[in-house]
Amino acid sequence: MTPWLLLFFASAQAGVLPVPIDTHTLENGLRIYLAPMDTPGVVSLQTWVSVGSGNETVPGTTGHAHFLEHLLFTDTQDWPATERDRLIRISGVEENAWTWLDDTVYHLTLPTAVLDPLIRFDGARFQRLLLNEATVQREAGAVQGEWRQGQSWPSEALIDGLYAQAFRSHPYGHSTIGTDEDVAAMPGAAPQIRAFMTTWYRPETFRIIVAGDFDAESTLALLTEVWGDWEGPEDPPPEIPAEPPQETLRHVEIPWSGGEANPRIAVGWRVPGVDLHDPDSAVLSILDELLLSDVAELHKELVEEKGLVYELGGRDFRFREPHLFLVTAELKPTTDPELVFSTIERHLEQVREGVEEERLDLVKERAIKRFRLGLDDPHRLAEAIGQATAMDPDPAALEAWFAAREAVTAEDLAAVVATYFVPEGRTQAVLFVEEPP
Amino acid sequence: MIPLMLWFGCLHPTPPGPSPAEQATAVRPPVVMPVDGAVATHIQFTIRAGSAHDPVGQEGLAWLTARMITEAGTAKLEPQQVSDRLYSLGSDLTWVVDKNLVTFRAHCLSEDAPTLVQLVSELVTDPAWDEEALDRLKEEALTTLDVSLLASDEALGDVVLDTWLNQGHPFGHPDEGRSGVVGLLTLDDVRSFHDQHYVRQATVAGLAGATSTELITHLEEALAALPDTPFEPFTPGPRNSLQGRSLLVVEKPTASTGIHFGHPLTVHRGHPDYPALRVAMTAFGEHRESHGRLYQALREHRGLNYGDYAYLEHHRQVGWSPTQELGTVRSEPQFSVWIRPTTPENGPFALKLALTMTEELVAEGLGAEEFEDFRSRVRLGMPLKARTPGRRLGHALDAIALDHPDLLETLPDHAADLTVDDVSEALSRHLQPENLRIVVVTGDAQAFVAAITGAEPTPPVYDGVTPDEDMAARDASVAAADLGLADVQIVPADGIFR
Repeated sequence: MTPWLLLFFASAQAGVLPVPIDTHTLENGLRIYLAPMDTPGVVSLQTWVSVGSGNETVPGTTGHAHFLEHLLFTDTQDWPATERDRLIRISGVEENAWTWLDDTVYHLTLPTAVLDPLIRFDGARFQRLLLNEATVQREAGAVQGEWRQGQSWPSEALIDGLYAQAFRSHPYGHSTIGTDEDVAAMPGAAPQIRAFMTTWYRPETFRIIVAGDFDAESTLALLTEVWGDWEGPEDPPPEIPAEPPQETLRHVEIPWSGGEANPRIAVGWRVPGVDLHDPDSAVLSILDELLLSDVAELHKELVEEKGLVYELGGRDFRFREPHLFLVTAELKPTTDPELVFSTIERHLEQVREGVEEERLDLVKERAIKRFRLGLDDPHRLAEAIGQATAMDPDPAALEAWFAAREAVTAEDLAAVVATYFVPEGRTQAVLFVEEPP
Repeated sequence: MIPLMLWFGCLHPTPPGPSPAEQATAVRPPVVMPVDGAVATHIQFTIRAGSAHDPVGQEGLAWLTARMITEAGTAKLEPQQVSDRLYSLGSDLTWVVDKNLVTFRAHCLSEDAPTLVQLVSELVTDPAWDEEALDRLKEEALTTLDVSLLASDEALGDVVLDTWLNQGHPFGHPDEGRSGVVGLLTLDDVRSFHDQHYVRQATVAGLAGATSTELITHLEEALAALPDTPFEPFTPGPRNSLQGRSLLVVEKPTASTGIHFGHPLTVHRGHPDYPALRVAMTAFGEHRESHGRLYQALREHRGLNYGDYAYLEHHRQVGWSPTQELGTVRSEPQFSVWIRPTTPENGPFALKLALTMTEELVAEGLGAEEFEDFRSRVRLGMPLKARTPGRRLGHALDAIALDHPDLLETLPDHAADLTVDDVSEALSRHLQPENLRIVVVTGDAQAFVAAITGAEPTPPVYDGVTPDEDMAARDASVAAADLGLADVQIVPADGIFR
C-alpha cells in the first residue's frame, strides 16, 4: 500500500504567472508543482534541491554540493548511466544542472513522449545513486578542470575575496567550487560525499517542477509512485552557523597575477535574506532595477559618459540567508577605484533624497513586464516556480510579492537605502593587477 | 600571395532577373498562431531583403537599411522615444540580417500589443533617414569587418569560408558588406534600397501567442502601408561546383590553428534529401553536442580541441545558446565542417582526420544503430527547437518567405519514413569530400602549408592521451594521408573583407 498522502492541494490562477500551478506535498515532505501549458510536444522537468554551498558546514567539504551535482549523472543501482544517456541522446533532450549558495538545480527540456521514462530515471539517480570510489575519483577530474578554468577568471577571484571578508562564520563565505585544498582532495572524498548526500538530499529539500505539454493527472500519479516511498534520515539536518552582525566597513585588496586583466572593484551591503512577505525584499528588488540595469543613471555615468568603467554588474541576488546587495565593475586601467566607489555612493545618496515618481513607475513597470514576458517558455516558467518556491511553498506568494513591488514608493526606497546601505554593513574589494616580476 | 579582394565577390555577376513565377509572387496574408491563455504577443516581420540583394559595388546596403530601422527612429519618433517606448513595454527589438532574409521581431504583454504592433510596423514601413545614424552604423559595419571579425579566430574562419564558398555569387560577401565600399554608401542609397525591397510582396508578417481580431486588422493595415509596387525578387542561382580541394590559409597573430571546410549544396529544406542529410549531419557532428562522430574522435578520444561539428546549412547560434538563429535559412545551403582551434602542431593532423572521416561517412553511410538513434533524435527533438510561440512563428515565417516546408511540421514524419539506405544514397549523391574549400586560420601559414603538403607524415602530439593499439594504427595511417590539394593560397587576415 502506498504510504503517501496528499497533504495539500492548491490550484491558483495567478496574475503574474500565466497558468494555474497545481501544488502537492507528499507525506515525506517532497513538493510537486505542475504547470500544464500550451507548448506542443515540449515539457520542462526540473528538480530543485534546496541545498547548495551554503550547506557545506563540515570542514574539508567545501565544493561538495557542486561535486555531488556532477555525480548525479553517474551510475545508479537500477541502471548504468549509459542507459539514461542514450535516452537523452535519441530523444533530443536538452539537459543541464547548476549549483549555487542555496540550491542545486537539475533541469531538462524534453519531448513529452519521454517524460515518463525520465521521471523514473530521476527517481533512481536521486534515491539509489551508486557513488562508488572509482566513479568519485573519475568525476573529480571534471570538477578540478572546472576549478582550473575558474582560476583564470579575475571576476571569480574578486567575488571570492569579497565574500570571504563579508561572511566569516556562515558558509556563504567560501566559493561554490570549493577551496583549493578541498577540490584537490575530491578524488578520495567518496565517504564524505555519501555523508553529504544522505544528510541533505532528503524529501523535504526536494521540489519537482513540471511545466509544459503533459497530462497532469497521470504525471502526478507517476511522480507519487516514484517518489512517495522515499524516506529521509530521522535526524534533523545540522544547524547552519549564523553570521554575526557586521560592525565596521570591511575592505580587502586582491592582487591578481593570473595574466592580462583589468582592475575591478566589488562592493556589497549586508541585506536580509529574501522573504516574499517582507516588504523590504520587494523594495530591494526594485532598487536593483533602478540602480543596476543597463539604462540606469549609474551605468550612463560610469560607462557611457565618463568611460571610467567597461562593465558594470552585480545584483540583489536572492538568497535565503542575509547576503550582499552587490555592485561590481571592471575598470579602465587608469580609473581610480575610489572614484567608482564614491560615484556609486552618490547615486545611492540620490535615491535617499528621493527618486522621481515617473522614473520609478517606469522601472517598476518594466521589471514586472519582463518577468511575465519570459514565462511562455516552459523552461523559464519552471525556473520561476523554482525560484519563488525556494522562498515560500505556495507559488501564490509570488502574487503578493509582485503586488508589494508594484506598491514601492520613493520613500520606501529612501528608507531601505538609509537602513542597509551604511558603512557598517558594507564590504568592498579591489582587484589590482600585479606587475610581472 | 594575392590580395583576397580579388577572391571575394567584387566581380560577382549581376543578380539574375526574376522568373515569371517569382514575379507573380502572391501577397501573403499575416500568419496568426494563437495560443490559448497566452499572456505575451509576439510580432515578426520577415522581408526578402537580405545581403544577397546588395547591388554589386554596394555591398552592405541591405545590412545598413535593416539597422537604420532599428536605430534611427521613425519619421514621427526620435530614436530615444523608440527606445523609451520599448523599455516601458519590457520589450526589445531583435533584428537578424542574413543572405536571403531580414527579420525584425519583438514581444510584449497582450495588453501592450496594439502599441508594439504600431511601433514595429512604423519602424519597418516609415523609418527616419538620419545622416548621423547612418554614419554611426557605417562605423559599426567597418569595425566588424576590419576589427571584430579578425579578432576572433573562430568567427573569422567561419565568415571566410562562407564568403569563399559563395564566391562569384550574390551570397559571396559578409552581410555587413565590404570595408572598401561601406564608406561610400549614402543616405539616398539606403532610402532607395528600402523603397525597392521593403514592399508588400516581399514581406511576410505574423503574430503568435495572445492575439485578437483587432490586432490582426492592425497588422494587416501596417502591411498595407508598404508600397504595393511589383516585387522583383530573385532567387540567387546555384553556385559553380568545385573542382578538387583548395586550401586558403589565413594568417594572423594567434597561438592556435582553426579549421573550416565545406562545399555548396543544393539540398535546401524543401529538397527530398534534406531529412536524410539532416540525420547524417546530426550523427556526424551536431552543433555544440558531444555525441557526434567528429567530436568523439577529435575531442573525446584525442583531446585535440574543444569541439568539432558538421552542418547542412550555415549555422548562426542565438547568443550563447546553441540553437540556430531564426531568419538565417537560405535558398542555397552548404555543407561544412568546423574544427575548433587546436595547437599549431596538431592542425595538419586534425584536418586530415576530419577529411578522412568525411570520406568514410560518404563511402559507408551510418551504422544501423547509429541511424536509428539519430533518426529518433531528429524526429523527437524537433519540437524543442521551438518551445515558445515566438520561435514557432519564426519557423513558419522562414518557411513561407523562402517557399520551404516548415520543418516543425514536416521533419518528424519525413524522418520517420527514412531508411538507413536513404541516408547512404543521399550522402553519396550530395557530399563531395573530393571537392572542397578548406580555410585554416593560423599564426604561421608557411609552416602549416609545408606540413600539410609535405611528404612527411603529420602525427598528433598528445597531451595526457595514450592511444591504444587501434588508435595508434589509425593515427599513423591518417597522419600519412595525402590530401591531394589542387590549390594552396596564403592571405593575411588584415583587410581580408575589403
